[in-house]
Amino acid sequence: MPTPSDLLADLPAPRDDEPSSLRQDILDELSDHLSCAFHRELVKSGNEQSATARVLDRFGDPRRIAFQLWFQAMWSRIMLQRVSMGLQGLLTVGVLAVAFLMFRVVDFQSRMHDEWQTLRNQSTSNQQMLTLLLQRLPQPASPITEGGSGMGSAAGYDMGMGGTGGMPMLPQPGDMSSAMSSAMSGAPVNPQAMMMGTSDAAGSMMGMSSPPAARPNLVIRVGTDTGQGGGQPAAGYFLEVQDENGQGVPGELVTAHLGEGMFGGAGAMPGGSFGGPSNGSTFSGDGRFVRMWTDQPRPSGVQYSNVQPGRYTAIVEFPDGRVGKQRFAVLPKEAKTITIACPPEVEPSLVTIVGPKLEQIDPAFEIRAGVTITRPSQRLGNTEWTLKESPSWAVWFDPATGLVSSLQSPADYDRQDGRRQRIAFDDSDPADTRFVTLKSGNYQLSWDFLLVWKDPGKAGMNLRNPGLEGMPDLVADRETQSAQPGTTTWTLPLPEALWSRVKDRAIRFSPKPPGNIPTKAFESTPELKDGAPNDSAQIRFVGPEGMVVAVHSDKGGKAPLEVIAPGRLNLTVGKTHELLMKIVPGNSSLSNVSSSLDVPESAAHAAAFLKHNAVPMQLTVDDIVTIAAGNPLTKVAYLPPTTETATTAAAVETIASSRLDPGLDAVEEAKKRGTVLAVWRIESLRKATPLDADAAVNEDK
Amino acid sequence: MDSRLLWGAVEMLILEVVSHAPTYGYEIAQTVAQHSQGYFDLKEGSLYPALHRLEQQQLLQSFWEEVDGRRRKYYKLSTAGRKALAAKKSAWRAFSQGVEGVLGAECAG
Repeated sequence: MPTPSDLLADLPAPRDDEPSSLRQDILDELSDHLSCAFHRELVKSGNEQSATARVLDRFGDPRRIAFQLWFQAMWSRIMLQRVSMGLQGLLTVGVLAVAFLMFRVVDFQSRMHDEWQTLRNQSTSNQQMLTLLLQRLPQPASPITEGGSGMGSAAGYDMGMGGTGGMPMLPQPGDMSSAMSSAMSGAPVNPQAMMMGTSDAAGSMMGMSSPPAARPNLVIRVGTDTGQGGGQPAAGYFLEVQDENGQGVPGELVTAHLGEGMFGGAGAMPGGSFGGPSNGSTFSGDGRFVRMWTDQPRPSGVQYSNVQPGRYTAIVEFPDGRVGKQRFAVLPKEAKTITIACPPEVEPSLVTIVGPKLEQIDPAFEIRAGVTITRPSQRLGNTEWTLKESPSWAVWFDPATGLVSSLQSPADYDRQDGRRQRIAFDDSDPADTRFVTLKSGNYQLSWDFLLVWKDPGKAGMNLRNPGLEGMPDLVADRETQSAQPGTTTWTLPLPEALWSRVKDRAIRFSPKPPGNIPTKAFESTPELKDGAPNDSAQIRFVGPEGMVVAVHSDKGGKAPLEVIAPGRLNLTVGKTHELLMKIVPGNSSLSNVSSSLDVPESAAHAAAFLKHNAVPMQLTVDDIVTIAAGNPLTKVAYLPPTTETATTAAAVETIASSRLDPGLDAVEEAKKRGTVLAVWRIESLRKATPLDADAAVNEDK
Repeated sequence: MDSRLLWGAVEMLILEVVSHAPTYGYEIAQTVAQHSQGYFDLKEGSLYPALHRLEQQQLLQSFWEEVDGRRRKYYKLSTAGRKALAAKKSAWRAFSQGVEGVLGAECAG
């Protein structure tokens, strides 16, 4: 017979919620049954073993029945516990979900509150600016014209546009009306004016507007650079988008710092209904202008339309001179997001440069070293960054002390004679005054070397690119230096290998009289090339650098000869040559400019001069301004009587018709002053006509 | 025999046996076997789960007594068990009469 322990062997471990007597009750009940059955079988058979076997055979497995009874008693408790655990799990998940939703709601409310506060501040600021602006505006002289949105009056337009022959008038700092005029004309808004809040004022006049009902197809994000492109929203910038023709695309801009600003093409008036064609005095509002938005929060109420598919260039400019350009395309049915990552702000740096002390290898001349400092463009993501008004500098050093002896920036033009200003130092100037003003950042330096004769009558030579046969340009590695905000000192040792090559060039050059050797870099007296006809004169187009001058050859060639300034042309004497010029390549208004160049027969002394000298001709900044304004210009090169025996091109002087008193003729005036060598007439900005030049003979750049 | 019919009959037989006087498991099995002339041979594997289920349904009540040095569990019919037994017996008789009626008609035919 099974023992009590055997009966309960299959039961699970006791549970906390199990009745204390359950196991004992099961054990006693089944034991009693087995005992009764055993005694009955024992009476029948008289054999304990057979009685036990028969009882168990009939009873089955007592342990299984004991487990069945235990589970039956505990089933409800077990199921209740499982259901309870399931409910607890569900409750926990529910509580977490509710907590998360509550956090999101609180966070959303907090952000909405901040945005609402920002809008309130903007509204207050805009109201103040509007009041100030309205106080400054003159009273309208005539009723408001139709089609505008409160800005269409003639008085408002005149105030805004300024009227300079269609050329945009840049706003002056602090001048609200001029800032508005730029905005209205689509010209870039002066960043300084924007910093002063004039854009906010203008924006308030256009009316506050709200986020677009649907996302526009072009969104431009301007952010600080975090290495991944576009970190925190940038502030205080000006954004313009130009189409393929360089025209500004009207739109609206929201900056994180300034609130809303505005930009756009001609006639764009964010928030208003301007945008139609301009007839020069009034605008007709037809509301067909395109808007472009950043994804910053916007007030409500303004309709917008998407930009047309095409190629565009986004231009971002900061008041400190950083200018970034990124080209992109907007395809049909495409929603485009452009991210512009901005480099750090630049600050002024006063860079003191200490050059090398150079060994003098010949008592007849000295070698001077210099560096050209340029700031390379920087690429962040797809944006090319340059620095506005960051000229390159040519810096020359005193070979004995290594101190800066002169500075020259190509960007600084003397408007009188077109030559670059030069800052020269002498021994009395303290070393700490010989600095270059740069913006912080990295710069590239390239070495230059001059051979300067002790005899002042001899012209020097540029040893880096002498323009001599058998002496190619000197190629040297560019160095990179960093300018930090405040003050920076650059000490520039001269690489030994480079110095050896420079000395070798100087020794090869020095035995030759400098005046007999043609160079590109100096106003020497080059011989005309062998084979050049005796009846020709050499014209040297000095500048502006990059100007292209084309003239048809009279030797039967169909293709015109071209020379790029600075460069030379040999032209037949006694002829008038038609020239076609591209004064500023890429600028449509200063391309295809026609002119004529007359090289008259000269007296014998002038002919002797022309045999050994080129006639320098150039357009100064004033000349270009005169031409761009559509005024005729005549420039006459002549040889003064006192220098008719001179042997250098520097003796030639020039008269420009624009500088003469009204009624005076430049040619006649030149004849009074000396012998006329060349007359250059630029009559107007007209389209090119077939050239009638039949006297150009060759070209020598 | 159909198991559902048999299962309902077993519960009814147990309640019927217990209705006469308090008794215990072994005696219930012996009584059912005796009175059914061995037709119903209740195995312990089904008897005790049935007793415990009827007790959980409060159709039976139990109490313990000590007999020959052992604890023995007695079952007696509760009021609810008495009503349930009457209903089961009534249903059974109706069922039996229906079956007999059909079987008698077949024999007569």
